[in-house]
Amino acid sequence: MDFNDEQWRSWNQLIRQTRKGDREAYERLLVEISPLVQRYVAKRVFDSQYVEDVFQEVLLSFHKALHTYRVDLPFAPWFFAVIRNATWTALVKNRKFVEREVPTEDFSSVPATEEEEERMDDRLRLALESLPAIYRQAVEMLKFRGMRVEAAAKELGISKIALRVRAHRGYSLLRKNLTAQKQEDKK
Amino acid sequence: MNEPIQPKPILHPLPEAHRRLVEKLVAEAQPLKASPSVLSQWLVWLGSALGMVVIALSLIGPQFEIMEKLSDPVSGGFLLLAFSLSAFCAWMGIASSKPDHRPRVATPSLAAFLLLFLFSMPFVFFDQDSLSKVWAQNTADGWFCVRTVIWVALPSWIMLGWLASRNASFYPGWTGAWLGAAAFLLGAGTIQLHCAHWETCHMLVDHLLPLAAFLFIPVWIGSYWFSRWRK
Repeated sequence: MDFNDEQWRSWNQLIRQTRKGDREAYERLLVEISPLVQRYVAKRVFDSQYVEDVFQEVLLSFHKALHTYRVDLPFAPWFFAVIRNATWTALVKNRKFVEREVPTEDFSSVPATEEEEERMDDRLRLALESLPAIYRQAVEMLKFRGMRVEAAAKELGISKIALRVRAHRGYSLLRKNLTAQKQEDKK
Repeated sequence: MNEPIQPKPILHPLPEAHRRLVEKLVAEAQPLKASPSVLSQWLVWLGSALGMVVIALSLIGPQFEIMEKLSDPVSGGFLLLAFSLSAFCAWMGIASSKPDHRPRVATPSLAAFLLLFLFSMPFVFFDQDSLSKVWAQNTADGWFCVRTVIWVALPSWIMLGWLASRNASFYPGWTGAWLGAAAFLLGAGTIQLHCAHWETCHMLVDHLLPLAAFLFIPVWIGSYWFSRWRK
């Protein structure tokens, strides 16, 4: 597709309509800009497994930043600046997540006794119940139901990065809660 | 038996996950109120900052020799630099909260240089005093200058935060830093209009230190608050 001046003007018009709440115009705009966003992201994200995730993050950011576009100004500079910033932010977020991820091989392989396991089950259940719903859901889906990230993200209707972030925050809170419980038990 | 729901023709060519996302975003679409331009937001802040300075000076009063100080190139330059740097930081803070902001190395470098120059001015151009004298005076007047700087900075900082939070910042930490610097520089300039102590230690500890000491709070709060729009 050739993105000429006519195309940009048409998108500017679609944004004007979108800002008035016209959903059809918005749908058309999203469908039409998607190939451009996808190409932009694919050129900048070298790890192919993250291209789709970053693309979704960028589209979400575009959606949330829509109110800041001034319709009297050209659309292209605003659009490219937003997707450039969004791509960069999504990549940084993703890198932070990967850096903090703990490989499952690092977990202790020493089996616990039956009594210890039961006590641990209770603790875990309590700690899990104390998590905010969105984090609990992510942890349950990935760790208890053993779902794959793609499937869980699809079921929740969010991007894979967003799910990973939720799960990661859930693990952190869970760890904090379990440590606090352990300290209380010691007392 | 229910017929499977067919996607709309326009969404047909899109992959499944992508189509779902577009549908979700379209379902969330509603009439949007346009966010004001950087200039208009900055002018709003400028108006409120001027109001704050006038209110503060009407309460605490300007120093007796204010006209002499304003006409003196060194003290007048110090005041001019503090207020203009505050205005510049406010502009940069609001601009950085727009999603199409392009960060440059030159602007923070220039601001850092000017800030360093402002902090070095008391050492170079003004009379020397001792820290013990400043401490004794602060204990006697209950840290009046520091409290005033904070009280002038706080409303300005809240106003800037409110303005910037309506935008969509991709650099929330930077936005916080710019806005914090703008607010505390305004406080530092205002107290210098009132306070007749143009001595090194007093200026540094009581007028400029709140800026350096509290800058991490706007950065920290800003990093959280200005990134909320993405969640």
